[in-house]
Amino acid sequence: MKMMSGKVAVAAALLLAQHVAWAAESVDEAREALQTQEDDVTQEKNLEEVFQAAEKQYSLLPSGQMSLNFSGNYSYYRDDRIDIAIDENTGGISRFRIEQDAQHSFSSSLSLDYGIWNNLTFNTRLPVSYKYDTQQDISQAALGDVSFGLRYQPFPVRPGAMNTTLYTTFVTPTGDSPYELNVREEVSSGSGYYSLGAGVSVSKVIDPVVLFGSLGYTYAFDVSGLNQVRGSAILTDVHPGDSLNFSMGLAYSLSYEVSLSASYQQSYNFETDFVFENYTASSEDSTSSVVNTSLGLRTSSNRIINLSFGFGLTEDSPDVLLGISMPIDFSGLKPGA
Amino acid sequence: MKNNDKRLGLRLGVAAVGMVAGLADAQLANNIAIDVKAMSMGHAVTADPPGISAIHFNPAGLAKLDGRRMDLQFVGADFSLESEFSAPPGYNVFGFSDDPIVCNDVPDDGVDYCRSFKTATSTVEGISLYVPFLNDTVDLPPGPLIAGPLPAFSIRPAGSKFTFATATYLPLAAGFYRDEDDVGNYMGERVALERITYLSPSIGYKVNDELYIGASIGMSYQAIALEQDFRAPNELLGFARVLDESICAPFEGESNIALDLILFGICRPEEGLGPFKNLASLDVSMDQRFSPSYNLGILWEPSERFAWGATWRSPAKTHMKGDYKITYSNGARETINGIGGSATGALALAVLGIPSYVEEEEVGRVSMDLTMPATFQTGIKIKPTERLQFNVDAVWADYKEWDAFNIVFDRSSAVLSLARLFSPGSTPTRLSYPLNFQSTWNLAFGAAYDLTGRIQLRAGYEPRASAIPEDRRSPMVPINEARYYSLGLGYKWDKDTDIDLGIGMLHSKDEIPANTSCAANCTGINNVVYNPYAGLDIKTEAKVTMIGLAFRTKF
Repeated sequence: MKMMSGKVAVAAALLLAQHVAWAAESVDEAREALQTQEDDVTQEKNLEEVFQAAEKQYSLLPSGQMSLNFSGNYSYYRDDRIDIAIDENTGGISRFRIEQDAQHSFSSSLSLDYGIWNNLTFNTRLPVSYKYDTQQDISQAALGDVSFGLRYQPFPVRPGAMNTTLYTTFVTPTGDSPYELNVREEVSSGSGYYSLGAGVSVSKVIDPVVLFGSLGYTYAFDVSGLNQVRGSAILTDVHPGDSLNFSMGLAYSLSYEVSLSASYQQSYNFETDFVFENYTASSEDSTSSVVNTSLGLRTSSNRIINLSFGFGLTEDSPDVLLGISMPIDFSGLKPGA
Repeated sequence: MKNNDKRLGLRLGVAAVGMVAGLADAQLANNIAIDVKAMSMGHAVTADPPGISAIHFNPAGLAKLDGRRMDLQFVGADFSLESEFSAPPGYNVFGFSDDPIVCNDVPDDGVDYCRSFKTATSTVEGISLYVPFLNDTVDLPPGPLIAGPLPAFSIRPAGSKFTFATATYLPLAAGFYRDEDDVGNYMGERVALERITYLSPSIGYKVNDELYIGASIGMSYQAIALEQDFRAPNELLGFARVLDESICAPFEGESNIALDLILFGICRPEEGLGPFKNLASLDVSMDQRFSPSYNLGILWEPSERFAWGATWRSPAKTHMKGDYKITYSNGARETINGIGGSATGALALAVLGIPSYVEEEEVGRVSMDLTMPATFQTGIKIKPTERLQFNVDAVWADYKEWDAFNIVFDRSSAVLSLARLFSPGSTPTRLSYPLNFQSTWNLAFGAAYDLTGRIQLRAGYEPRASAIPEDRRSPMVPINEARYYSLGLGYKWDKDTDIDLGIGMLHSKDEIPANTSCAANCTGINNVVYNPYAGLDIKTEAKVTMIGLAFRTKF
């Protein structure tokens, strides 16, 4: 009997340890979810649409037109977690350690928009990233997850009325999957699974302020056929949790050239199941939220450069976010230009 | 017998890195088949960069391209790799000489020595390619590998001093497969290596009418795949065969506790080990989807008659990762499991930290860091007459960077637990393979003659230096010291359109007498590196023939 209870205690300790480990896992998940939100509806997009809204019936790209955007982002994430295992029998602490995690990531991406119709725009995004994990001393340059999306405006834009855009995004796992790497030696650059997201974003001009917001849901496809060593277990399948995200904010136009904006973004991730050869574990659901501010500078009649600064509000969010985005003018590439 | 098994494991472990030898060799294909004009001028084009391929050869040359331009290139390559294996007089491994590779006798004829020796030849059947995202190797039907159209674009806005460009090209593409029964399969039954630069944003700047500078960033995909059989013809495995065939013979079919205790279970397996037997087969593929690098260039052209150029191509740190699969041969499995199945044998294995049971297959994830060496190239262009032009380049490649390859496995396997006992720098999950490559310098020559206003004839010659030291040559992809010859033709279709044709041949021939290269045929039990042809004389010949067509126009 005594032996049995000893076993129970060990099992409990293991479970607790696992729980903490999965907490760490979900932190990554949440962080990634927050990062990928960039492809959906960013303030820059909203701002661009708003600034262009006055001239066109729809605020999306006119049919047949293309635009190329470059964005560079930096984020820093740091966290200390307590990893503790308590012996249920004695109440004694059988393990106590502080796990530290710190990661600098630089990412840049090219996104290409193409106007299929005046109110339907196709978008694709090619991200590359460089990550430096100060705690593990690992650095890595890698391709991120390439994504494809559509944005659709069901109604023409009317001054003073609410402007509605429906969007959908399909993310392909072209980056380094967190489930196919050596966890001791490597860092991931992608989510590792396909996902399909859809949502709606709205904006309304109340001169000189523009209010905007969005709501979206992302479905994550399961991953199977894995063979990854995690501690002493082998991970075979992952059923990633879906996520729900929303954002809201306002932009204020100081002059024709300068605008300021502030926004709040939050994403809620449902729990993820990890199937190992002998058992299944689940991560906690998690929430990450970020406050972002940005400065938009109009440098020529059709170019707005956005500089942004943000910070995370929950443990699952990056501590600091910096970004720049600008259009790349390739009018010179067009025949006859 | 314990030792024997350790040795087996070691061989397998080292075998797991044997593939890097192939990577190394093929990698010496620096500059090859990137541009058709460069191909036909012996790659001596730093002072005379060819069209948009200046991105690779000298990005400063981009500044000389005006308007909007497009290059489309088609490149075909055919590899012929032949190796000959023969037994020198007195060839034997621990008294055995009936090596099926060089012996004509019927296998298992009950005689330990070979009555009639032969010379065996290994050839390649065709070309293999590793397909990105599909993550699999495909065999192409016999014939040359054709790549194309490889596109490149450049643009200089009117009145600007800047030219922007990007190109897609293959800095490295090699691969082959051999017949299932080919004697060369211990040096790669199926090999594919590639580096594909899919995007290369570049900029050229015209400082003044004489001086140009440029830079480019290359975004590349890199992959390696290898399937290979392994054997280790050395004294220890010779001894294993003695045990199996002579000492254990009287106990065949008998297994009892007393016998197992005394003999550590070595007589338990039905099939034992031998020096000429296949021990295991390895199937590995690794890739990296984004590997950045950069090129810098300068071009000084004070007159029509003379130009000087120099290019620095940065090293590219790659981190490739993928899957491995080790399939153990029946003999190897039965021997380890036999020992593990006896009480004393299992104890001995446990002391050494070796699993007492191996599955038929071991699978897992593997990764390798590899720095693609930096290269520096400088050269001149001289036009002694209106029609004649000579180019001379000097090329340096920093292969000294490759002193050792480190391979990291995501889990410890039977092979690695054994290998770690022998290979310094190795751990249960990390394997270190020494290379000791050397950096190289060589010259390259090119000539062009304007036959008419429209037709230009070209020729090139490049004696390429070997980065592989004498004692590290192998028959896998035997490109050591090599000679490169080329011919070409340029045709001016109209004011804005050029067509280039080129043909080039790289030829490398070598002899590796028995016991001279410890990456192929060293004998002795102290060789921790892979020597599947220990004690055999090897002759190698590699021919790579390339043809190309480039179409360059404005749009």
